[in-house]
Amino acid sequence: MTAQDPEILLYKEHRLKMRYGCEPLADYLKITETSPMFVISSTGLWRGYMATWEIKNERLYLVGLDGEIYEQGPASIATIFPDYPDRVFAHWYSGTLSAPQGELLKSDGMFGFDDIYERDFYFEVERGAVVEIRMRKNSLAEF
Amino acid sequence: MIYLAWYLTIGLVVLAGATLQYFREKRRQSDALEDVLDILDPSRKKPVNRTLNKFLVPLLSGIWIVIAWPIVLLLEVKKEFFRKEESAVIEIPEFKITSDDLLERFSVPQVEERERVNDPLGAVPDVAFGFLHEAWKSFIKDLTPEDELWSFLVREERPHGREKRTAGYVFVRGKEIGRNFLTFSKVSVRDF
Repeated sequence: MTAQDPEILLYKEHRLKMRYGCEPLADYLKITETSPMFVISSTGLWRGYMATWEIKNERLYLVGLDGEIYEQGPASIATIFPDYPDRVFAHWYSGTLSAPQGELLKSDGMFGFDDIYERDFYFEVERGAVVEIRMRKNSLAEF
Repeated sequence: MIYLAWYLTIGLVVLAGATLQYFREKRRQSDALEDVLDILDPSRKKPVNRTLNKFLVPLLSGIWIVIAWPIVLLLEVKKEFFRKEESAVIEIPEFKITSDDLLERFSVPQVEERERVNDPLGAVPDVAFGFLHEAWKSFIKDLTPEDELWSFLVREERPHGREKRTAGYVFVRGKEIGRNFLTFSKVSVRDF
C-alpha cells in the first residue's frame, strides 16, 4: 500500500505530520454514519481528505479540511459542521496521536510507516481533552 | 535407481496433495480477487500472460514440487507454524458488556445534564454529547419504560500489556444488557 499523506497537527510552534492511523475525523464520520463520498484523488490519500488539527488550551480542534466530494465540489469544515466553519472541538475523539519530528534517522524505504525520526510526540487525548503529552527521543542505536 | 523412483513417487504424492490444497483454497477465494489483480496490473489480461499464468507457471511449479518436495514440505510446516503463532497474537475477544461492568443508573435528563459539552472557544454546540447529540437522540428513542439506563466501563486486556477501556451508556432490561451508546474507547499505549 502506498504511504498515506499524513494529517497535520499544529502544536505550539510546531507543524507536525501525524503517523498513519491518526485520523480523529474518521471516528466522527463512523460514529455518526455521515461520511460524504470523498473523491479519492490519489493512492496516497485513500480517505479522500486532508485534515488539519490544533492543540490549544489542552484541547484538540479541527481547524482545516481539504477535499472534494462527488458531484458536490470542494469540501471544507463547513461541509461536515455547517455551523462551525472555522474550528471544531473534537470531543468525540479518544486515542493517542503520535507525530514524528526532526531529522529522518532511518527510512523503511517504501511505505514510511516505520520511518524513524529524531523525536516522537505522543498526545494522549480523552474525549477531546489532551490529558498527557510525551516526547520520545530516538537514536539509531535502539533500532 | 530404486531410491530415485521412491523419491519421485513421494514427490508425486506431495504434488497431488499440493494440487488438492490449491483447489480447496481457490474455491474459498472470491473472483473479486482476480478482478482486483487485473485492475492493478492490466497486462495480466494479455493472452501471452494468461497462457503463462494458467499453464506454464503451474507446470513449472509441479516439476519443482516433484523434484524438491522436501523443501516444499519444510516450507509448508514453517508456514503452518507461523500462521498459528500469528493467529494467537491477533485474536481479540468480541466486545461485550456484562452486569459487572455497570456503574450507575441514570435517568435521561440526568445523563443529558452531565454530558453537556462546553468549550471556551465556542467550538461545539452546548447540548448533551455536543456534535453527537443527534446520535444520542436516535439512541434513546428506543428506550422503553421497562428499560433502565446505566453507565458502564469495560476494561479489556490487549496484547503487549495494553488495556482497552470502553465507556458509555447501555439499556438494561431485567438482567438483559441491551443496546449501548459509546462515549469513550481507548487502548492505552505501552509505557517506555
